Amino acid sequence: MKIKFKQNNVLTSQEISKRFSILRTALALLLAMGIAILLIFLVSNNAGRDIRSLLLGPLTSTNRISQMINKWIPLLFTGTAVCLFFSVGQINLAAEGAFFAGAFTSTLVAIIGGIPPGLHFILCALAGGLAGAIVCGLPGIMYTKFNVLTVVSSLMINYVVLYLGLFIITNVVRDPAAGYEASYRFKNTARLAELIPGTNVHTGLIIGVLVVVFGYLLLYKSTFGLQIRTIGANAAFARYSGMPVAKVIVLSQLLGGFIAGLGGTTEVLGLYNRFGYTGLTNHGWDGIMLAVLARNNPKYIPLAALFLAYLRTSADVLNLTSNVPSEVINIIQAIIISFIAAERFLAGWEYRTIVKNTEKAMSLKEGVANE
Amino acid sequence: MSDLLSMVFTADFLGSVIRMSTPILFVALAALVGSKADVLCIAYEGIMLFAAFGGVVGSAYTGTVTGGLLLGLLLGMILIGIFAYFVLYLHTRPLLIGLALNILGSAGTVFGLYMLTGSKANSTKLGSLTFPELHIPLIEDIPVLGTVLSGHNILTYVAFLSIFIVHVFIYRTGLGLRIRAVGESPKAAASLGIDVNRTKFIALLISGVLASMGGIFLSMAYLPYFTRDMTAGRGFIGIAAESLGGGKPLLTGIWILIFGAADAIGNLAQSFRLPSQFAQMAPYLTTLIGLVLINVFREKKKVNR
Amino acid sequence: MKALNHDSDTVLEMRNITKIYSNGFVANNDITFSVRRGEIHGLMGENGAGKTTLMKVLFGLEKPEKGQIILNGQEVHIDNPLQALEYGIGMVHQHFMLVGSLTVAENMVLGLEPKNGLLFDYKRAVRETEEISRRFNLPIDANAIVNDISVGMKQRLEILKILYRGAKILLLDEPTAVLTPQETTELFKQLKHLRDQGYTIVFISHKLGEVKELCDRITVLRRGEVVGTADIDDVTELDISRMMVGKDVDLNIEKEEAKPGKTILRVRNLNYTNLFGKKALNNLSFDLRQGEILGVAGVEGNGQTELSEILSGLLVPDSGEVRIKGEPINNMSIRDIRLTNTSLIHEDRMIYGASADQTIVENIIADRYFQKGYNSKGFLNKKYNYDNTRELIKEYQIACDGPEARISTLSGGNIQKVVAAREFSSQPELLIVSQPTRGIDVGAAELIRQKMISLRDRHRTAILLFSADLTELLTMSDGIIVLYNGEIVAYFPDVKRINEEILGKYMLGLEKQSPEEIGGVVHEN
Repeated sequence: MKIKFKQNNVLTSQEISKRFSILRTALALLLAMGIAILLIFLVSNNAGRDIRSLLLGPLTSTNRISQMINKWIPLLFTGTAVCLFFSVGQINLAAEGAFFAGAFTSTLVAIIGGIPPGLHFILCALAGGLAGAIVCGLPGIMYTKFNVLTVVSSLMINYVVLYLGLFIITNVVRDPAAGYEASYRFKNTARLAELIPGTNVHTGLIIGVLVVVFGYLLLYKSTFGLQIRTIGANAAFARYSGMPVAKVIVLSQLLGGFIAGLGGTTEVLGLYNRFGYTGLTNHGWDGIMLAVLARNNPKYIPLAALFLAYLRTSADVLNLTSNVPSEVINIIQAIIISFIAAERFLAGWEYRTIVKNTEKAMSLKEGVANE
Repeated sequence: MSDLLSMVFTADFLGSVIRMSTPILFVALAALVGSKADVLCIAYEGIMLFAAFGGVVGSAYTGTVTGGLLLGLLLGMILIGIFAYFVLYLHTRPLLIGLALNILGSAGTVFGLYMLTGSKANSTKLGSLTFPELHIPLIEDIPVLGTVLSGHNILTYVAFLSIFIVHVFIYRTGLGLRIRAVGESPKAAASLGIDVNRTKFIALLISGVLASMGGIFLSMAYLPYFTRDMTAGRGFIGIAAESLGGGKPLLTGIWILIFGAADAIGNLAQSFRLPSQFAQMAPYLTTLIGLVLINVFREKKKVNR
Repeated sequence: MKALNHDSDTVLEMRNITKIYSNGFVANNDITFSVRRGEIHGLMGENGAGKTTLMKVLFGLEKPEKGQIILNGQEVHIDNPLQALEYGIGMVHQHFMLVGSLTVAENMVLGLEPKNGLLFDYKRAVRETEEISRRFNLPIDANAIVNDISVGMKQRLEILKILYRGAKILLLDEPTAVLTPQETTELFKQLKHLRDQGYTIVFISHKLGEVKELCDRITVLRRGEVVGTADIDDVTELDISRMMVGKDVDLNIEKEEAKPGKTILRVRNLNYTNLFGKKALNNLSFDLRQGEILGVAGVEGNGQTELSEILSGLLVPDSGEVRIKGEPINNMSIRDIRLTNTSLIHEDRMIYGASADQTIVENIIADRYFQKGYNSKGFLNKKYNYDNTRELIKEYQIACDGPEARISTLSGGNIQKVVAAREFSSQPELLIVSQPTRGIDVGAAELIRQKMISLRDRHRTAILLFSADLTELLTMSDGIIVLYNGEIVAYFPDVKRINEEILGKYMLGLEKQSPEEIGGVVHEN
């Protein structure tokens, strides 16, 4: 017996759950902001100005807006990559390493001279993407072949990649003339062009948007995506239905790794003229947060990434204009992830609403029957 | 190169292996207790940072080491308490809340450091205390062994003692038995009236004490002050070592010594102008290879049965 | 048949118990049930009659919507197992509640660990285990790891566990389902011994012979309601089976004589040893032909699960050969097997049959998304898939909000209809199906059975049917093989000439056909 609710303007339980999920997100944001404002009051010597910076800082100049857009770009890549990992049920944390690997591997190609523009970037992107694919693919292979826990192996791989990269940069392609630990200059033929003249927003933006669209179509419109999501939802069912489980897991890790690696390539060739990272960049961890916010759907990654980029730009503004440490922003981030991920947060309220709603629907139905 | 090898087998070197192993050992034992309760906590980085920071602040403001120990433990326990509450009662995926708490651990301690000292880098201004070193009377006088075994920080002895304490706790106490039961078969435990969530909560709190000790060691023994993000991935290595040890305290301890050796070789190698990155990479690479080998071995054993 | 009388011997009474599950299934409807001190009381009924639910209510695992529990003349409220144990009520579940890596003694004392200072006194645990084992004459190895002990010993451990906790009333949920005949005999001896010591036992079963042998009184449930209570000496096995099955024994299936064609599935000398080293399948050979339903009967744990999983490609046999339409499947993936136009329905619906968090469409296309029509150039053909699904929802009368409804919002019967819709709609030549109607409502079960008959008749599908429901097996099958201890012990080419009783003898290993008779199921050489 299934009661049809819709005719009577009563919500179905599924719709109520959806609304509560939005409410949970909104409350998490509010709570996080509240705590941030409290912390600012605690340390600031000019709380009013700093709260304004936190809330509106990124919008106060074109320079800051373009900064925000540039922070947004890499997040599109790692966010989409992690959506792929999580959708297939693999807790692969190697997007961090893949991003870094993409950056340093494309550096090796970008310092080679004599390659025509356009082609040069494509070669760099291929190198970076492949490096990323290897980094994220390994945990996938280790899981499917040897049953090694992906969480642990991917954590370890991040560090292996970090030190391998640092070794190559400092021992193989280090430019003594740079004055700091950095590679030789990238050739101009490899660098990404400015997208909007007068700002430093680069054409990586277009690539990033394309990657998100690609990720969405792949996951939700293609047969490959159906396999990924089915395996993530119930791997035994997927196998019994005849899906090639191990193959899809490895392919999706390779693909996500390629995207994260491409993100690293785009970031260094769009923003810098040398490779100068001395540690992991956190873009992969950010990607995990974004995938959680977007519930593993790349469609929502741009919005979630914009939010994070906005916060990060606020952090820069605070850094420049006040005595409030920009770590406030990370604290906000932590609180938001916690409460959005807490499935039972508000569950009691949600349950009561569903019960009340069902009772209402049943009484309406009886009313109709009595007429 | 031969110089390097000869240095590896000196007493000083072996002593430094033990020193380097201490914080990882604490975390690995923490991860072990957590895994017996079937909860994968990746928040140890954050917990250690909170504890390390608490230790420094507590000792600086009370002027006693005990004050540092207590505040360090308290902060660490608050963090793992949040973790346990979210995982067990709000049904949050352990990975996500763990990730959040690691961010909080890093940002929160820097924020606190800045509030108290005005510096975001380290706590040298606070003038915090350290735990004393322990010279063991008779052993100290034995030529090589004395240098290896004696003169370490008291927390190092606590760490190595903890291997046995954790072993006894898990395998020889009623609570340990219950933790193993709820971790392996929560339904069976519940059918005997054991409160599964409460038992897991207690296991996590104990795990939190161990991880906090690791953090406190970092800022009150390994270094005499707090620096930002001073855990540097040790929380993760601890988890990996536990995974390699297959849930056995003694085996886990052996892996820790291997990691400690890799760490120590890294330090030595730098003084010989060898690329330090390879040495820094060693523990992680060892883990990866170890994980594959161990699982190949386990699979084989399964087939043979 | 006696009315429920109120005598002073009554130790436990459940009055007007009604339990409705969240999916609307009425498991217990106004059940009143009483047990006398020191008796073995059989609680009987077919699968899904509500026996287990009633006992779970008594043990505090399910909260009834209505009803009272009266213990020793006083009303009690039992909200959790701990309270039940405090009242002296202990339950042995159908699936063992044991921690496999711990020893017998550790499982015994879990939650009540004897202490020696701060430490757990393991030696005393062993001593107490041995003591209680001796006292109740239930031999057990206190130091053995539970994973290594036999099923029979696990059962004894479960019974001792509740005795150790002071239970006076023992609820045993189908304790013989997994036991060998010898172990069953042994168990009955022990249970009678317990009764003689004054313990009260509620014995859940749907096996006539066992109940007749063991019990003093019985209560029979059917479809969540009490059919009646009787002293065992006042009723014959026939009476009980009538009470259990009722008038609706006729499953409403009309089917014509089978006209078997050429062999589709050919199994020869199949052997399989499971992870615990037990020989699960022993030299199995049989054939399944076009347009034929071959039933597989057997008490749970006699090789049925292993056989169905080998045929569907989940397990790899030690030796032997399986051919589908002449092709050996040894090196085939599950996809390859399905591509031979074979459909598979696993007994475990929520693990292998459906994906709870996905939509009906996604569940329907899971085995065919790669085929023409369902996608174009790798992209899913949304309209085609939705239209298809809508048609199936209509044809299989699936009660839902539409193709996008999540499986988790459906009732068990409707979920199984989705599974059947997927597996049947490809018009398979071969169908391997396990427990197709287990635990689902009558309407859904009937629809699924009708569909299988129509597959046989219209598409000449060869169907291998595994079912624990003997009525279903006898109604649906054309021929039946019986598995006992991993071997085929009987083949009945004509189901009309046998009944449950005959099947039961072979299922329990009491009888075995001659090799020639069994060999009859091999139709081609």
